[in-house]
Amino acid sequence: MILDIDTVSKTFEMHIIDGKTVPGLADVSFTVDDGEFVAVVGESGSGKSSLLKCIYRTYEPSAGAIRFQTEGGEVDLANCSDREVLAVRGSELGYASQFLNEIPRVPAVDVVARPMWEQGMDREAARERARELLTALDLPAELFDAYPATFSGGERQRVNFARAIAPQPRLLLLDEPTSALDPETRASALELLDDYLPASTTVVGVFHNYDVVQQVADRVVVLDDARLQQVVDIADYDPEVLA
Amino acid sequence: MTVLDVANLTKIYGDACGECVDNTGPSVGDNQCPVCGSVVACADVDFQLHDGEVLGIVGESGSGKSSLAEMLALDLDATAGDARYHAYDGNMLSADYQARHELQNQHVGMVHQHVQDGLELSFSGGGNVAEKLLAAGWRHYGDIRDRVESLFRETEVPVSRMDDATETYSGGMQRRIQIAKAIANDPGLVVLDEPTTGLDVSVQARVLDMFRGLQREQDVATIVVSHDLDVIRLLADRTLVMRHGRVIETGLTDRIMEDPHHEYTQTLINSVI
Ligand SMILES: Nc1ncnc2c1ncn2[C@@H]1O[C@H](COP(=O)(O)OP(=O)(O)OP(=O)(O)O)[C@@H](O)[C@H]1O
Ligand SMILES: Nc1ncnc2c1ncn2[C@@H]1O[C@H](COP(=O)(O)OP(=O)(O)O)[C@@H](O)[C@H]1O
Ligand SMILES: [Mg+2]
Ligand SMILES: [Mg+2]
Ligand SMILES: [Zn+2]
Repeated sequence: MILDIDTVSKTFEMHIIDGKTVPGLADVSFTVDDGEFVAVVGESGSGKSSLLKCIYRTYEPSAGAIRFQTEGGEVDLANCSDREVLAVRGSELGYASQFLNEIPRVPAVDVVARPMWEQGMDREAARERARELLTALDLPAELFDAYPATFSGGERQRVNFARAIAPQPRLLLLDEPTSALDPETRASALELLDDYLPASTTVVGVFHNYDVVQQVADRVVVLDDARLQQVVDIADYDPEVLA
Repeated sequence: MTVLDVANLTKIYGDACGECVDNTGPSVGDNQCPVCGSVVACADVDFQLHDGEVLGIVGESGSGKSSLAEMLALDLDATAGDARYHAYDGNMLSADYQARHELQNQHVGMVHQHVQDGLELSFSGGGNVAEKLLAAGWRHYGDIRDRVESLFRETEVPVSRMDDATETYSGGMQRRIQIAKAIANDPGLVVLDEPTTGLDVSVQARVLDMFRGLQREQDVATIVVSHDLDVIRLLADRTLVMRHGRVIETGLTDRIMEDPHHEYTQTLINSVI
């Protein structure tokens, strides 16, 4: 087991609307095995992005534990220090957010290369790798040196996806990484996951498309209204019954 | 390794009455003491900075960011507090004249909010940078010239402009010269106060990107002060949010941006989006 999500809750307290509280996640528990591909599904607003953000600690869980077996031992991502989170992110944990929060005026190739050179790779080698990944994702070469802020949704999504997989993290979180892609580009992206990432990579990914889930997932986590509804093997997953 | 460990850092402008800190802050909604009229620019600030880390300090105008930055760069006397720097024995805030200059010349690089506080604009750009090397004991003309040239390259300022007066440089170039000067003696700590104010958006991004590249390569612990959330987002690993002279929230930068806890932080983030 690489990840143990243990009764995790996240409640948002919105001071600017009279302290209203919004449940993002409530008592969610499941585990993920080494090398497994877990798909997270559920209706809009069911808590899928909140779950991924809690694992990455972009959201601070309100309760529970998220035990990640890193190469250096167990780290509870829900409760460890900010510095421990940064160390884990820098080496073993990757995340592609649902919406690319692009840095203004950094060319696409550098957006993708940056996590690699921050981990010590030579800058030019990192750029070369970035170009290879963007090429594999069918991004037109003339966009490599342009700013993602001017890109279409699907082009941005490919940059975001390439950036997350580039450093080959042991645990990869993907939030609807292919939602804005046409079927052909989506196929390239899924193929790249297979070809580029070592087989030992563990992935927790949010997907909307049943065919994609069918193609990539070993197990499916179904969320409903901030709660875990079910965890099933892909063979037993029937979206008609469960959704 | 902890590069800097700051505890209870406080700056009060004026003749403090003893109650100033209790009488001010976010709960009161002001930084001015109603009893004696002193301004509590910042009070009780605590944080630790490790090597290679970038700490952001964000807050509205007047929240105390520059006062904090200048105390850490030893350009402003602290009213109270303790700051331990790894290569200095004791509280660096109470360093004597000579020790303070040594710290400023060799260990702490500062990029000031106001260009004129950091650069002698009538001197050449090269001269401004060379001055910092001279202060650290560099003597050989050829070595100094070589070092200044390499700093110009690192900060992406045309070497051909080295001998021109700094006042003839563009705003972006002046900012780069300040950065060149701040990193000239391989400091262990760099403090940037509003590194992009007054620059065009496109120039801002390039200056920040240049700095971030240097910062990562040299692994230098950095404090970046800005009221601009984009600057903080781009540079900082962790962030302190200040209001009325107090730190009201601390956390990972992306957590502060996407899951702000404090009421004021929520307002700050939402007013931008
Ligand atoms: N020399 C001074 N004498 C008196 N009060 C001062 C002095 N310098 C700053 N202050 C006051 O201290 C408070 C904090 O000022 P500071 O310059 O640290 O703010 P800041 O957060 O850097 O603001 P900005 O974003 O506008 O640069 C303000 O109320 C300011 O008016
Ligand atoms: N940063 C936030 N602040 C307040 N509420 C949030 C925040 N993020 C998510 N939520 C709320 O949490 C719930 C789950 O949202 P989310 O995880 O984005 O759902 P999904 O990804 O499944 O569409 C929703 O009610 C959403 O409005
Ligand atoms: Mg979502
Ligand atoms: Mg200021
Ligand atoms: Zn007072």
